[in-house]
Amino acid sequence: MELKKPAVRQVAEAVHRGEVTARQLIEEALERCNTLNSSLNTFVVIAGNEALKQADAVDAKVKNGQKLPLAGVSVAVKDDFCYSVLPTGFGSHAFKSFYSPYSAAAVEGLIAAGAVVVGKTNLDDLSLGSAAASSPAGPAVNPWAEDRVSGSAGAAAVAAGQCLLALESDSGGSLRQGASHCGVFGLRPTTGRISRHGLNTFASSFAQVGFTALHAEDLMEAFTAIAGFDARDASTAVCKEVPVDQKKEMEPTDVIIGCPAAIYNHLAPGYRAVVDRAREEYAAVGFKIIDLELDLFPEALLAYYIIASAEASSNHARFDGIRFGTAGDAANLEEFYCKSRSMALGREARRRSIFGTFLLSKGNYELYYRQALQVWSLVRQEFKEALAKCHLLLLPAVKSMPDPIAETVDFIRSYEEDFFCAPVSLTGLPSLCLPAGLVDGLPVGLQLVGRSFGDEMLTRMAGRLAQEIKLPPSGVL
Amino acid sequence: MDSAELALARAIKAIKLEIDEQEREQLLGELNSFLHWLEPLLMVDTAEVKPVLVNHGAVNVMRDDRAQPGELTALRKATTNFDEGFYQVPTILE
Repeated sequence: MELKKPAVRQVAEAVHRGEVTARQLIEEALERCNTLNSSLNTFVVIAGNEALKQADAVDAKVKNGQKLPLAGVSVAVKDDFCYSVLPTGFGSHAFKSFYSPYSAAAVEGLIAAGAVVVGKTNLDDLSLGSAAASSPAGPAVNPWAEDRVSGSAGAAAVAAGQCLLALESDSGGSLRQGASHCGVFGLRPTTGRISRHGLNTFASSFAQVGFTALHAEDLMEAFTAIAGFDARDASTAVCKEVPVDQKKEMEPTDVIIGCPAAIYNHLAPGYRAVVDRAREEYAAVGFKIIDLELDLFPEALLAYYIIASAEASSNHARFDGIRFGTAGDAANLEEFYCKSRSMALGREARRRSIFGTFLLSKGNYELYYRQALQVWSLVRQEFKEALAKCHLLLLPAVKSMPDPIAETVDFIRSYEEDFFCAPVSLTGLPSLCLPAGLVDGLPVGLQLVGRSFGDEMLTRMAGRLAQEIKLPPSGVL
Repeated sequence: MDSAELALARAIKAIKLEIDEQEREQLLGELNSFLHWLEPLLMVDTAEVKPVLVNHGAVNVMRDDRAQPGELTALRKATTNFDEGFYQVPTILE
């Protein structure tokens, strides 16, 4: 098989036709993972024999006539998903040699579909961040510019050709911002469509399982393989019938894209031009473009940070050294807790836990937290009304260039980088980041937001755009 | 100690972290910056607005409270120390 950037389906079909074995594909992927990891730091663990054994199992199943939609597809798994075969570190010093007794539902699902896990990808301190820069293992480097952050190590690994697919989590936008910064596609599905069983989340209301990949259709292959109700995750949706307009094969001329142009003014110079050009190109393909307003973006970001901090302070309470991680010797129980928790929580996790505890305290709960829950309601209503007028919303994914790795970024400024993604997380709607242009030689992606349970239509339309418009190259190969 | 310092001290105590004086001062500055940053949110008119409680419209689906065949075997396999239906864990405190 001589394809430079093969789609997931092409790989699986080649394995089924006997043109290549899963073992050959995975050996090649592992070699690339190992060769590039010293410069990119995308992986915290790279699989060896474990991956080859999985690949052999795939080959055996295919030989026995089993159809596997992801046969031989190399997948990188973010290190906040439990995976019993490799260590799971959650981006914390306290879990250096932790092996989960079980694997996350999403990991199990991908493996059952024939994918092979090539390693666990780097992540921010307990998943808190959208830069993959605050990891105890050091930052994951952007393959487009070695002095810049990647946003997501999984997206960076896909862009660098270390794997075909990355299993990601996304709360405030790490998956989508990573896809934008690394020039690949990224899907955050509708809340509840993929099980989060086995995913370590800091913000239970917003964390969602998704993917990054080189092609839009790869996202759908992975999504189809693992989406659905899971009794182990009570927040998964018993999938109702997908709305008719989301199901039928729509042509671009049937689709209305809403553009909230006023919020584009928050973009850095150069980035605005990318959105304006995309708008023109989408119209040229036949999409109907309409203007609309989404006024609550600035406040939605603030609401997100209040709720997410409150939930982080609650979720991180379990890192007490007894159930997870340990600090070793202590004179008494109080000291044991303090030592264990101080080891488990890095700088950003400590900050968020303190902010969250403060915001949930008497008086502040009513002033901040309850107000944030009410603003959340207004934001959802605003998006609902907007999506009654159009099928998709066109939004930026990032405000500006990925930050230099060497630079210490003020924490408020790093929160503001989530300006275009965190508000969408509040809605639970599906969103997809697709490559849209280059600014100063670095990729920039845009975000399409679809209607609830419209993941398939959203991905199909992104695929059409990739076919009909000359999008910038996906990945750096 | 002003009210912000007091609130911070209470939060640190509640979440059980070892924090030295230098970090405490830094956190106090960061908390004040954060609260200042949040101020525009307080200006939004939310009278009569019901708060959101869950981020999806799905009805909670509970599992049947019934043991599944093979569950105990799976639990046994997940640990090296499983006796009389209980996990045995190392002593952490004398």
